[in-house]
Amino acid sequence: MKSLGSRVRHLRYPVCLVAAGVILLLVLPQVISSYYVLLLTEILIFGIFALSVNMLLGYTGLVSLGQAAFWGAGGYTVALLIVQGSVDNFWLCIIAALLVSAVLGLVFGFLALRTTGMYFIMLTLALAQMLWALVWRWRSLTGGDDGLPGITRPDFGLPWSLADTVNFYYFIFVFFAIAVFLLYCITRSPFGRTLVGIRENESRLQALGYNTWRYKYVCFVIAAVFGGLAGALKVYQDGFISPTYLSMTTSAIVVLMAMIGGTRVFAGPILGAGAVWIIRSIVSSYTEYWTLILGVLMVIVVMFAPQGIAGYLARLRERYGTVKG
Amino acid sequence: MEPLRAEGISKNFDGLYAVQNVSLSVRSGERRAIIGPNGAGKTTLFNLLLGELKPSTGRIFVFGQDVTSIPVHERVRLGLARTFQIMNLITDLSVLDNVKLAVQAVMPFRFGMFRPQSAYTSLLDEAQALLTQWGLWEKRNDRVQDLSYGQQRRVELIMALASKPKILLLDEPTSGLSQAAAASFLDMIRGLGRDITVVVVEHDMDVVFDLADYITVLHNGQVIAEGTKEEIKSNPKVREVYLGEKG
Amino acid sequence: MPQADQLALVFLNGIAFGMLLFLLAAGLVLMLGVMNIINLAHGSFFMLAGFIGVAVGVKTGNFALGILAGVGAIGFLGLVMERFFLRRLPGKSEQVLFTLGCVYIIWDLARAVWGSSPRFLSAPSILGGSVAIGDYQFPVYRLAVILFGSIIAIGLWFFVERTRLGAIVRAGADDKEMVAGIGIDIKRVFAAVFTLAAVLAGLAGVIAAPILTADLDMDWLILTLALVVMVVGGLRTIQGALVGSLLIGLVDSLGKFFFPELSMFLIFGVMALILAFRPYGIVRSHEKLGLKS
Repeated sequence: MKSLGSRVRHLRYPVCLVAAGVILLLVLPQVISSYYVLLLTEILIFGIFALSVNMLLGYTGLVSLGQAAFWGAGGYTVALLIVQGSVDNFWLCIIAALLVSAVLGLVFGFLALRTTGMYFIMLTLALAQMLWALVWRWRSLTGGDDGLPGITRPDFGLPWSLADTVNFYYFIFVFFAIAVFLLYCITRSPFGRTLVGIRENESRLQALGYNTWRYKYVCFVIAAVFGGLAGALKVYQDGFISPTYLSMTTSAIVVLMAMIGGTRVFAGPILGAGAVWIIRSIVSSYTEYWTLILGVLMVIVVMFAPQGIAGYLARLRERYGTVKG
Repeated sequence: MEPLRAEGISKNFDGLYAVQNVSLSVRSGERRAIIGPNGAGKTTLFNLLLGELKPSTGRIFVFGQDVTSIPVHERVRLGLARTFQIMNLITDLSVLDNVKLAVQAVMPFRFGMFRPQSAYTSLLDEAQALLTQWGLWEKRNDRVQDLSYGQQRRVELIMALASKPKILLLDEPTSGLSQAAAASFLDMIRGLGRDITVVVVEHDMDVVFDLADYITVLHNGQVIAEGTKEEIKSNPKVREVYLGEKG
Repeated sequence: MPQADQLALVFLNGIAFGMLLFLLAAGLVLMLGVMNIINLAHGSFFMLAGFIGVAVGVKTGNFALGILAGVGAIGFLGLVMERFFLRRLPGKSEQVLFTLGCVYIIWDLARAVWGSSPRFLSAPSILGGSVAIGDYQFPVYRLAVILFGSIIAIGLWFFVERTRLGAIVRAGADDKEMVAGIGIDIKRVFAAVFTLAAVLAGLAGVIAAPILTADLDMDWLILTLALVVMVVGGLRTIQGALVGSLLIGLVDSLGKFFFPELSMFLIFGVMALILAFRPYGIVRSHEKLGLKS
């Protein structure tokens, strides 16, 4: 039985950790080279993406293999507005990206959630592939396989240019912090707790009176919106976009990130994004067989560590906790 | 207005009738038992009444409203609640979390996304009231799977009662329980006020005769008898069907 | 204005392609029905078999050996995957993610061995040559593919609808009591079905080589098409797989003929339409006893 003492201690531990993490993330760019700052920026962006995927995977138990559709939708909205539409305004672009992702989420979610289990997995894959095919084919609009270059960093007229790697990092950090906060609130809310119930035992929840479909649908749209946000930010980071944003590999990598980090712990996907991206940058500098390593990593994680890093750490902490008191 | 009424419902699986032309009407506050030998169609009927299955023919009414094509969760909103025969709790969560989810289901803030669940104090208050009433408050932080079978059954019942139902459907509630546990469980049911109508699908005749005001007997998917304890006990068709079933 | 013989050609091409898709889709349907998993590496099986078949076929000059090599290798791979990995994984989503990892492993290994340019294998000489249709020539080989596919389709249908093992496939692994009652070890059933599906995919991969060439992009392309087939045709029946495959094969062929820019999108368009009205596919399967799906 948990005593009040252990309850309070249970809370204090994560708060210290979070504070330490935030401080680290704020201070690091000042001391590391710009290559690593770039890496860190990408990790934050993927962190948002992986968190969004985990709303479905870890919290609701829905395996979607098509989340790249929203990442790409957000990205292409921004890219098209800037390159084809000559729209300069950052906020307009971002809001448009969020709206497009939301609408796409409403449509895809409606179609995919008419099914469950394996069928759902398959449909999310097929729908994302459909979007990929559309973008890939429509050369006149999207540049097809060549993509769209020439996306410049937003200019707010401030003395700090966002073309600078470090400045851009802090810019992204703000979005990261907001996204993390919002998603965290959602997971702790009644809505979020219900999602966990749905993951564990959907029929039970229906028998209690919950319209579980509606919860799943809303969660799907939330994941779509945050995925679109992340994709939009990535386009500004990269400066160009290509159909790879919509590829199956992107969907797979982000799922892997969530799994490696740990799907049952909120911050797991962030850790996972860091782990996968760092591994990728290391591996890519030694060999051109990153894809092979990606596959092997997926197999290893799935077979030996499905609870991920954070899950493993959480179990360690449990054990440590009981020894203490 | 009767709480629950079924009119000529049938359920056909690939040509096989699990339930055939069953009609029943449960009065307000009644304790109704649905009995029958194995394969009589009790579970199918139960699932039909709940909405887990759609009838091939016939209609179902809850408080006069036609619910035949209404899904499970909406019937719950109309006042139905059920317990499960096979343990169907959310095993990895604590007892308290389970009950909170049950209570939350009928709360207006169940879709709330911004404030944490813990901010809604009425949730904890309700859950505490329920758990204390049924003697499980001390066990609230234990994981459901760590509880004894009898305690799990009690949690089942608590969760069903959390939505303040007007009709409670129990699916073989005492199966697997020891004599003592079954007896205490029945006490719990007897303790429920007559503002709740109770329908029990049961196999155990002692439980049935102890609890029920009125009994419906199924055989091969059809109703073969309906009546009070005495009427059923002396009904020759019922005796015949149960001959050799229970010693 | 397309002429009749042109259309006939387009039609036959579509059927031939549809038959290839059917071999894949049938395997996926079997695996879904019995083991309730989607093997995302199915396209990779197809691709790898193609490469192996081409390599052996070109080296030995013997097409049949190429088929044997491709089918054997993939069958073995499937067996190993199921026996040593899939069986050990706790849940369905982990199994699917495992197969996804295999996709990447197989792809990069194929790239390492065979490089990124497509490999070509010519049809066996007995099936060489072509048949005149109006002003045009249609390869005999493709007719053979149509014939072969039909035979497999009939054989599979018979297997599923008329044999004991087929009954298990239809009932699905959900009905474990029935399976135990018949006295069959469910683990063996899983291994057999997975291997059979892999063999079918491998067969398709080698047979496809003279038509499509063996190519690194094949794995996702063909898997996507097979998934579309399943969505359209229904995920539970061989008949559905056949209907879906032929339909998609025809849409692909007609699309490439009339609207070459949009052909891929047309296929997805059909899929989205079916999805909107019949999310479980055109061909309905018998409702499972008492289960809400």
